[in-house]
Amino acid sequence: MAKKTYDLLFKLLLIGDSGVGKTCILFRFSDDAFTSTFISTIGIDFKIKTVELRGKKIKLQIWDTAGQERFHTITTSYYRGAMGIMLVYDITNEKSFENIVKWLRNIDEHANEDVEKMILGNKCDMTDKRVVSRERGEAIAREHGIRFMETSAKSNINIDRAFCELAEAILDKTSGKEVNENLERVVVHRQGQEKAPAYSRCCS
Amino acid sequence: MNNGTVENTPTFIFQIVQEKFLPGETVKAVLHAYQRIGVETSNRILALVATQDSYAVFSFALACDKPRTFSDLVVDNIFPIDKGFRMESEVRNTISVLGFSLSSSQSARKSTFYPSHPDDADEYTSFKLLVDDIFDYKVRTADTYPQAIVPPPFDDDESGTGGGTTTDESGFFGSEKEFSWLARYRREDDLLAIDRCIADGSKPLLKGESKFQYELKKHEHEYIINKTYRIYCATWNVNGQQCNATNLRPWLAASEDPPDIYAIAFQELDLSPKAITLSESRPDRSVIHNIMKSLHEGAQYEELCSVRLVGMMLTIVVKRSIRPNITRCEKQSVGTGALNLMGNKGGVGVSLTLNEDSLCFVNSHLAAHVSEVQRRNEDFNEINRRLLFSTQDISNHDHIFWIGDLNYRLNMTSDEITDYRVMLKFDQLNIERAAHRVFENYYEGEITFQPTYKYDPGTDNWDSSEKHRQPAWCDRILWRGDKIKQIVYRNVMKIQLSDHKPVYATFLADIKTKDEQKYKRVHEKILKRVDKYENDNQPQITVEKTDLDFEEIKFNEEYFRDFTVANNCHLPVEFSFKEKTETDMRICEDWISIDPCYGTLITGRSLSIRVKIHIKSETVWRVIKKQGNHIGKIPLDILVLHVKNGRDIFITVMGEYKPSCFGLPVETLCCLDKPIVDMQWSELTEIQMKSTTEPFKITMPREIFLLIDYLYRVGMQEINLFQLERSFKVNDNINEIRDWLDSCGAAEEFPGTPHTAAEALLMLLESSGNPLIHPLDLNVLNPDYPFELCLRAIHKLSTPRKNVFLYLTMFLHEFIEQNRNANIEVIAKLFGMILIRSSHDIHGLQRKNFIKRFLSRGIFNFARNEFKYS
Ligand SMILES: Nc1nc2c(ncn2[C@@H]2O[C@H](COP(=O)(O)OP(=O)(O)OP(=O)(O)O)[C@@H](O)[C@H]2O)c(=O)[nH]1
Ligand SMILES: [Mg+2]
Repeated sequence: MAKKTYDLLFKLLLIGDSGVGKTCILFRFSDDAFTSTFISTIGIDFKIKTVELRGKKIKLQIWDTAGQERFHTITTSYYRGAMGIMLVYDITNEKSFENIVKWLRNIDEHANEDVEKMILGNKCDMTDKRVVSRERGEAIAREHGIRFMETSAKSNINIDRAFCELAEAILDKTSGKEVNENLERVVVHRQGQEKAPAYSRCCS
Repeated sequence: MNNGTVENTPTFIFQIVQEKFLPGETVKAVLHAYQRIGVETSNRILALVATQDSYAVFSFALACDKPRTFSDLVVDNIFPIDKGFRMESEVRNTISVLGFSLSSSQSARKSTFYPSHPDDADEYTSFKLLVDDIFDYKVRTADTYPQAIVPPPFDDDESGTGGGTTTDESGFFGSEKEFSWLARYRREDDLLAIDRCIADGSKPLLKGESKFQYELKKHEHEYIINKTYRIYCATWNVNGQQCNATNLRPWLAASEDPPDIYAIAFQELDLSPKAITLSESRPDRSVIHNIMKSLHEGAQYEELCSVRLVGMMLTIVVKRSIRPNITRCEKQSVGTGALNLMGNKGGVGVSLTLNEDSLCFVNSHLAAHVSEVQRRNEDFNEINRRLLFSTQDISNHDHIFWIGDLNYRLNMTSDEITDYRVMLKFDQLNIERAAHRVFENYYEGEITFQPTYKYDPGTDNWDSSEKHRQPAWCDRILWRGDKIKQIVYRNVMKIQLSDHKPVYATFLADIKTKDEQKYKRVHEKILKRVDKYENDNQPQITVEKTDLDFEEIKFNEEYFRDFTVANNCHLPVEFSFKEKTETDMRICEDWISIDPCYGTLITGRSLSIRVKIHIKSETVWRVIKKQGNHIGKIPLDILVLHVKNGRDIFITVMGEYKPSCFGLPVETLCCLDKPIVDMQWSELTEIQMKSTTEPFKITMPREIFLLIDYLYRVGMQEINLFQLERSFKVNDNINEIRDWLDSCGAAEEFPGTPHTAAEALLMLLESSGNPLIHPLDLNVLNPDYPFELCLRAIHKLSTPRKNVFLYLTMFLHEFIEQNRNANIEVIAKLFGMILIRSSHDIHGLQRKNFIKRFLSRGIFNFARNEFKYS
């Protein structure tokens, strides 16, 4: 009679150049904390976080990958099995933005075909150091038909929302029966990221 | 239930429990028990601990099935023996204890335990006796010497619940000061308590799911509140009369407020032998119809369920508005008539879950006749034993209402006495209960009404038949549970259909109810904690370094680097080096080896792992490819150190492979204009690219020339020079030859012997990425292929390859001619394997025969000088 605690388990992956803030994003999401010292990830780490979406308890298993160049070939082998991928760049680092295309290619080559993707422009708190405009981020996301958000792990901007939105997109996909009802919304999501209200009730 | 509790000797357990405590805190008794947590059971050790002036019962959770040290015991709960302390048994029969509960003023909740060895009554009994003695003693001394009174810190949710404990503060013993020593053992959060048995792997970590259930249960008091429900119990023995037309309102609608739940019991609905033999179990709809018409008019009701056995019927009716709160309802019946089988006597019961509490209603009709007291007691036990619901028996319910014609009479012969209060002293049920022979732990309200039996039907007159039965309170209503308060308990004289008068009682019951808002908060909090628990309980390994710097690496040399991995987390760690991709199943490059490449580390242990590099002829070309045109150190390989259920750590193998003639294509060797030692990889790759277009500087590699030349000069008579069995692998001598060749050491003395020179030659030939005869025209392997054409095929190879091949075979021909020990078969086979390394599955014999055709013919008219190094 005991209810199951978890209705679903989603595996998510964080990728992007070294130093863009992947680990900080995960740390903010799982522990609600931030440190400014940079310890580059040398390997693959994961954390658990349970969220409730549409009355379902969803356990997110989030994998944080090493962004350093030399690990790229190795990290791609972790793409398989991921149901959602967060592709992170740093709005103060032009190179990390340019590499988005390269990361997208990596996803195409190595991830499941139906993986849900989302691009995050991180460190949006550092307005004075910004080199990649929000418009450019939106443009590249639109071009590839991917969700986009600017985030800050430091100031806790959009972190919860980003994960919940990605999880919700996966939920839409997995709950096949409800598709008809949700189809419209999925399409709407693809327009960009100005439709916040639909997500206001998750992960508060 | 898991009965495999502690098998260690009692004294041993006593000892380790004692070790939990400070001097002056003495363990007086120990009891093995378990608790039910959700659907699981969890073992406990209870300990009665004494200090100079206070006592407490500790409940320890066990970190493993067989605790070995005190650290395997985790304090789960503490029950100070204060005034609010209770240890109450639920006895099934006089011998075995079903369960018992502990509570105290300072523990907000009552906890239920079950002895682990219910059949071994001794442990339980002596523990209980001791606890009772202490409690009695404390009560007595508290009365005599009142102490400073500090009110106990009652939990908000717990106060004001009726029944059981009183909050009377006068003469209270057990001040906070007296129990201050307990603070040391109270742990707010033992969630992450380091558990030695988890650490050494003998106990698995709780998985998220069960951890969640466990925590939810543990924090129940934070979101469970009591909600009061009105319960109306009614019983009537109709003596076989049709009662579907009788006005039941005086009996069922007698309360002021509308009840939430009705439990309406009938006996002797049908006395016909047919009903008895067929064990009639269909509820009497006409009676139920009549019931539904006769209920309190202040609310809407619906029948929840009815259960019938012959004459007994129990109908549960609930207020429509609370129907959704009832999440479970089951019914059951037991016959205790003739042969303990017939349904003319026995019981019917309904078990239901209302909010978070379970309720049980039993309607029983026990054995008749004044003399059958014993039999009635037995019927009661029999019903308790056999009336079982899917997951529980009667006694497991939070609230129990037992109603019916219990048939207990008066132990009185004369009918002189008419004062009911006096008559009640002779009531068999009261006597039996006082003697603990039946209805143990049940309560009954005070009887203030006249006996319910036996009347002349249609009147209020006592039985006037010749049997002239003694009046008695046959029809009774009892309850069990601390949170029940009786409001009224009456009979209904007005209803005269039967020889029994109906009886009813109304109650207020506090039902555990989830406060949805609080629950949501606790639920969220626990989800977070469980996530944290899972994250914090990820097995982790600490590595000394993630870069292994091998610096300069030379061909055919062995290097190793050691690094330590340690387990500093509180879980056992299983590690292994992981295959890199689904397609590449290797854990590292062929020229790297890892030892050990998997293992298990318990907490606090560390281990040294050795990574070895040895670049041999077969693999050197791959290293060269990897080194590419990079100057200096590069990441040669990345090892993935995987921790089971945990993270992966990347370990980078750094190093610089130093250029050497080994592994380079012969074309490249023919384009060099300075010693290899002086060259960079950038230059070498450039040369390699150009070597396809530019003319060769020399006709054949000088390294090969030098080796053959040396052998020709000093090794022609050497025994076993070329053997299939090759013993030189890592040999300083060969590495000296390597350095001699790479540094263009022609000027210096050759550092080796004919044997090492021969081995160096073989290694040189086999170390190139492609074999010497490449590309290969497969026709040449056909034994019938004309030798002319074979020779032509050789001439089609690049000039360096052709020259090396002809020079080599010429030398070998010469060697076989001159050396009496030389075996052409062996030599042909050996060189066949090295020179023709096609990926096609070419039979070794064909390769050997091809070489042999060249070695056996003295057809080389060209002079040695033709290939002279210039
Ligand atoms: N101002 C600001 N700094 C951030 C933010 N997120 C991360 N940082 C900083 O950026 C640096 C790198 O963050 P990490 O999260 O370790 O980077 P990473 O993407 O995990 O890098 P790799 O592990 O090497 O792949 C750290 O010094 C962080 O403090 C942010 O939102 N705002
Ligand atoms: Mg990182």
